[in-house]
Amino acid sequence: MKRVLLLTVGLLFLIALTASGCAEDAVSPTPGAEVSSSCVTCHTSEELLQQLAVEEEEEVSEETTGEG
Amino acid sequence: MPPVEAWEKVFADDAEFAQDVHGEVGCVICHGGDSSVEELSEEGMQAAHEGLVADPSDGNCNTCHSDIAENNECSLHTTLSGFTSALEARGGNLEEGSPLAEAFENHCQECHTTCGQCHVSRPDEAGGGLVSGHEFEETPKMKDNCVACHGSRVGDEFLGENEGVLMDIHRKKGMQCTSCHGEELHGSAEIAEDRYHTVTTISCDDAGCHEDVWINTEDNPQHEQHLTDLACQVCHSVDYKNCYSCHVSIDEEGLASRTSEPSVMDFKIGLNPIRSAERYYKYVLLRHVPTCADGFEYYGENLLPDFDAESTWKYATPHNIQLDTPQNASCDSCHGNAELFLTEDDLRPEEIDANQDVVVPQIPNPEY
Repeated sequence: MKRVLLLTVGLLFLIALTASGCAEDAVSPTPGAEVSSSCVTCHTSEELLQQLAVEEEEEVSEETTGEG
Repeated sequence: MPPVEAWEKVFADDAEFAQDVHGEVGCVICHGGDSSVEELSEEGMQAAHEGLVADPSDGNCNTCHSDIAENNECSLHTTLSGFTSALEARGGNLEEGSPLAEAFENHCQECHTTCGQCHVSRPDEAGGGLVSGHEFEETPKMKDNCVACHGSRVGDEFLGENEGVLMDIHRKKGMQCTSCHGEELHGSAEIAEDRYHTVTTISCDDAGCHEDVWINTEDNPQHEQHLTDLACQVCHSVDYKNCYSCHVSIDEEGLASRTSEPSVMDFKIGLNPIRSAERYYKYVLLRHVPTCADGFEYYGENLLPDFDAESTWKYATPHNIQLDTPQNASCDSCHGNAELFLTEDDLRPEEIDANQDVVVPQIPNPEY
């Protein structure tokens, strides 16, 4: 009886282990693809951004005075 | 806040952000644009940014954070109901197409904020720009986020930026805005009238802070005498900023313009205009808010027809708390000291009617 119990627990453990391994494979594929996109390449390059980034000019009325 | 260069605003100092739970979904899912463009040039940048949404908070954050986003729909940061309820209380008509609604859209709506403007970037109103690369900060940063908008009054008080006034004792001990403010920043399921009427509004004895004040009153005769009739700030706050006479218009170039008088440092104790079971004190501090009866006259005449229905000196909780203050030095420091109290003599003639309910009719007896 004890052996049957141990065998059952062992089997359940193996099933759980296999299932978790499968689940990990299922969520991993595409996400990393974006890492090498041009967005990341540019936005992590200080040099490139200094060349390309332009401040959008915010027009503020010269008549505005006082604190907000 | 010191200016931030254009490139710094969009610079993520390493690619780690692309590996976290938000980065895993890819840039274009939230921001749009075209991530397949490979040319690293101005033309390439323009092509990649075609259809870009710089702040994609709306319609994205709620996909995963639905519980917070649902409450946030009703938060003061989203609805600006603190502004609208004050205008409506003065008889203002904010129905779509009305002159006041147009003014509100042109001058007040900019104070609205989004999830991203607290948790990823600085608020648009403060010039925007990523705070810590593209990291999502669960807790907004005090100077980059909170004070970027709440700077001129509460921020200056808390940080001790008003000349001659010490920083708040809580700040001196290292506390941040979020040490006290938390849940109420996202609102609750109901639209609140203003920040003093939210379901989750905090108080000094919340979360285990200052509960002892209520327990050991015999060690402190001032607490024993005044705990139930004075708001904490009446004894523990010092001079704070008051604003007057804000007028809005559109200038000759079509830009939204605003003028107000220079702010005034002052300290006024008055009658509690929002006395309730939670805010039971008779006396509170009052701050003059920048409103005035003709502030919107550019958009039409008499747009606040019941201006006097609401006081211009409003319930205030200045964030410059000190243990020892001039008014709590002794009984005589406050009792009989007319300078500390808001009386009719302090009011502008055109605001006398509006403030009848908050002026102190008789200065507390000097002989107590």
